[in-house]
Amino acid sequence: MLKLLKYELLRRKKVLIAFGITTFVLELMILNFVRLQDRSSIFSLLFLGLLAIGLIAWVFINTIENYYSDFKKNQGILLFLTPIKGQSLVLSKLIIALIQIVGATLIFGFCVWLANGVAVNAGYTGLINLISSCTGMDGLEISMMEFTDQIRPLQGQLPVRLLVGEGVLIMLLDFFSNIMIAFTAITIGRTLLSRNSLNWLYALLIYFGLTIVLQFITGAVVMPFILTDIYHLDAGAQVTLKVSEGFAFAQKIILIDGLISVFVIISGFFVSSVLINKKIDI
Amino acid sequence: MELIKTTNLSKKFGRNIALDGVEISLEAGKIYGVLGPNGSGKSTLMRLISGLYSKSNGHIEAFSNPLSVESKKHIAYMPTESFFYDYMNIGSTAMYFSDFFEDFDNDRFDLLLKEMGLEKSMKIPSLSSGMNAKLRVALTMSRKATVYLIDEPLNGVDLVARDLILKTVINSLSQDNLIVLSSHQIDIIENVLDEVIFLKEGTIVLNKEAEDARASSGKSIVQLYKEVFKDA
Repeated sequence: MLKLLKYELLRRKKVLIAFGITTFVLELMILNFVRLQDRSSIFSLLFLGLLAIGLIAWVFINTIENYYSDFKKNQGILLFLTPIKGQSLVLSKLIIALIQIVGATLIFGFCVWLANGVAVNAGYTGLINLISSCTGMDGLEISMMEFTDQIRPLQGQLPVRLLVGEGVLIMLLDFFSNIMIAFTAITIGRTLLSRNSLNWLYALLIYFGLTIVLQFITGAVVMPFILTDIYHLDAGAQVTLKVSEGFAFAQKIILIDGLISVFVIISGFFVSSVLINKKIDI
Repeated sequence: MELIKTTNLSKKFGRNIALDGVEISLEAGKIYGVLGPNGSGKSTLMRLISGLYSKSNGHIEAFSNPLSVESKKHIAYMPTESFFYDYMNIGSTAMYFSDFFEDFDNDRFDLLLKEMGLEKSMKIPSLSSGMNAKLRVALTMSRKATVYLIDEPLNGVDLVARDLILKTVINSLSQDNLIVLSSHQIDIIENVLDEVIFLKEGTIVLNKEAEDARASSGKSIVQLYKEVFKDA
C-alpha cells in the first residue's frame, strides 16, 4: 500500500507544484486587495471564495482524472502488470484524496488566517462600509448587530462544536461518496462495456445515472422522517419549531445522509475492486 | 513440468473475436514461439496469461491454479509498447520494478543496462524506440520469473541490439522457467525456438515441437509459416 501511495504522489508531483504556485499567486492577490482598502477589496472575498471552490474542485478532478488514466494503455500496463489487488488500488486513491483534501483545507485555513491578520493589522473595516455604499443599506451594521443579538440566546441551547464536527464529517462523506460513484462509473465503463474511444462518455453517463438514482433513494428514505415530523408538529398544534426540535430533526437527517454516504462508499469500493480483479482489460 | 495451461480460451472485444477456443500447455525449460500475422491474437494471448486482459470464456491455469493476481508475482510480461510514466527516468523504472516485484534483481539489471548502453539518468521521453525496447527487455529479464512472455522484442531495434536482446532472452532460460516469444522476424528467432504455435484469426493452426514440425514437413519454420499464412 505504501508503495502505491509513493507512486501516486510521484505521478502528481508536477500537478502539485503547479497547484501550489497557483494558490500562492491567488493568496498574494487576496492580500493585496485587503491591503488596498478601497472598492477593489471586495475582490478579496471573491478570491477567497474562488480559492475554496477551486481547492475542492481540484482535489475531486485530480483524483478522478488519475483513476481514469490508470485504465489507459501505458499507465494501465505498468500498474496492472504488478500483483496489486483492486482493493489496494482503490484504497490508495481514496487515501491520496483524503491527504489532498486535508492538505487543501489546511492551506485554505492558512490563507484565511493570513488575510485576516493583514486586515486586522491594517485596521481594515472597509468591507461592510463598502457593501453599505454599494447597496445603499446604511443600516447594515445595525442589522447585523440585531441579528447577532437574536442568535446569541440560542448558543447555549445548541452544541455548536458537535454541529460543526458533524457538518465537516458529512461534507467529507459526501465528497468521498461522489468520488466513489465516479470510480464505480469509470470502472464499469472500462470493464463491462466494450473498449472504444467513447468510454469516457459511458463513464460520465453512468456517473450521472448513479447520482440521480442515489438522489431518489435518499429522498425516498428521508421523506418519511420529514412527513412524520411535520405530522407530529401539527398534532401538537405547535406553530413555531423549537431549537431543540429543530436540532433533533437535523440530527436525524444528518445521520441518514451519513449512512447513505457510507453505504455508497462501501458498495462502490466493493464493486470497483471486484471488477478490477476479475474483468480488467488494458 | 506444466506451468501454464489454457482450456477453450476465448476473448471477445465487442463483436470481434480475438481468440477462439485456444488450448495450449506450456512446460518449463522451453522457449515457445507464438507466431502469426498482425491481428492473429498473439498479443491477446500473452495479455490474457499476464492478467492484463480478462477472458471471455474458458480457463487459464498458472502453476496448477486458476490465474489470479498472485500469479503475476511469477509471470513477467514485456509488452510491445512503452508503458512508463513520463516523469520517470531509467533509474526510477528499476525502482518501480524493485518495489513491486520481489524477484527483481537489481544487479542483473545494472549489468544488462551496461551491456545495452543505457544509463539510469536517461529520461523516458528522451529514449528512442530502440532504446525503449532495450529497457523493456532489461527490466523484464531482470526478474527471476517462472514465466516470461516477450511480445515482439525485436521491433524497432538495430542489428547489434537484436543479437543482444536474443542472447539476453536465451540466457534467462532454465529448467524451472519458460519463455514465450512472439515476433514477425521468424527467420531470426527460428533457431532458438523449442516449440512453435501458429495463430490464425484467433485460433491455433499449428502447435508442435519445432524439430518435429521441420522433420514432418521437410521445411523450415519460416517456409511453414509462409505456407500457412500465404493468404493472410
